[in-house]
Amino acid sequence: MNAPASRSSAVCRGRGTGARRQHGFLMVEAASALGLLALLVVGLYAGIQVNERMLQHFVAQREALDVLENVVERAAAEAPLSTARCRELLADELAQSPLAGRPSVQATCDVPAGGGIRCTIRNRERLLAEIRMGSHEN
Amino acid sequence: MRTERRSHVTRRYMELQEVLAGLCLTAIVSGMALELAGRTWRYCREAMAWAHTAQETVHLRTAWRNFVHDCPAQPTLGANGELLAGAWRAAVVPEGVALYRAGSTRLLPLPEGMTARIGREGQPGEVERWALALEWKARNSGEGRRGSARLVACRGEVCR
Repeated sequence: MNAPASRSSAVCRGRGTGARRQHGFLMVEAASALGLLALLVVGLYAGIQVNERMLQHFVAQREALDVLENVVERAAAEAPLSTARCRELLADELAQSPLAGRPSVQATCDVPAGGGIRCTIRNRERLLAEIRMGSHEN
Repeated sequence: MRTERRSHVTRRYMELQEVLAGLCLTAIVSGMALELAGRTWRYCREAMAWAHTAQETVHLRTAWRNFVHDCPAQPTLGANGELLAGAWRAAVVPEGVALYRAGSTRLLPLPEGMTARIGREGQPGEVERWALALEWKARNSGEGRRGSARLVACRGEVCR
């Protein structure tokens, strides 16, 4: 009488162990999926962040180009122009531009080897825009 | 019998756990996907708006410079903030910047959200400058990002 009962409970226990194992596998799969998804999302976020930084850089480049365009226009009206006067014009235009509020933006005017005047605008040593005036290059 | 019932309860409990884990995972994934899609969409729109504005600014600069350079007389600033040079006139109208030449009018449309203002700059003794100041707000920008540009044109005349 006892034998069939004990067999049935053993079968039940066997089924229970299998189900528990299956459940454990499912949980591990869920945790792995979550981890992989987290990695994927972090990668995508980083990509978007880089793109946004690049957009900001391009906007700053456009603003720097606007500044240099205005300097060239004023320099053409005042020609001939000294380096010191060019520096004044550049500083004045930079002060009136959207780049004025950024302490990391620096504008310089110097005389390059080929002659003329070179104006550059940099943001943390990264070149935003550069222009050469009055030099003739072959 | 009791063992079978316990096993059945345990199995149901485990199934419930699996369903809950699946639901949580789906909710997290959906949330992240929506957030990423929204952010990417906003970024793309902003980048497109910036590119369009930059292009329009270049057109405006060229047209504004040509107009100021070609003025038949020395320009003066009118009471309504418009540029007057003999029969020529430049004014900011709701549709954009209107350049009136003798017998013809050219309208430079401004991009959506952009405003313009004509100004005269320069201290006495300096070269007179005519500036078209542009300001705009990035469309659909939650951070309220703004942009501005000054388009300077000079004729070489000295301020008095």
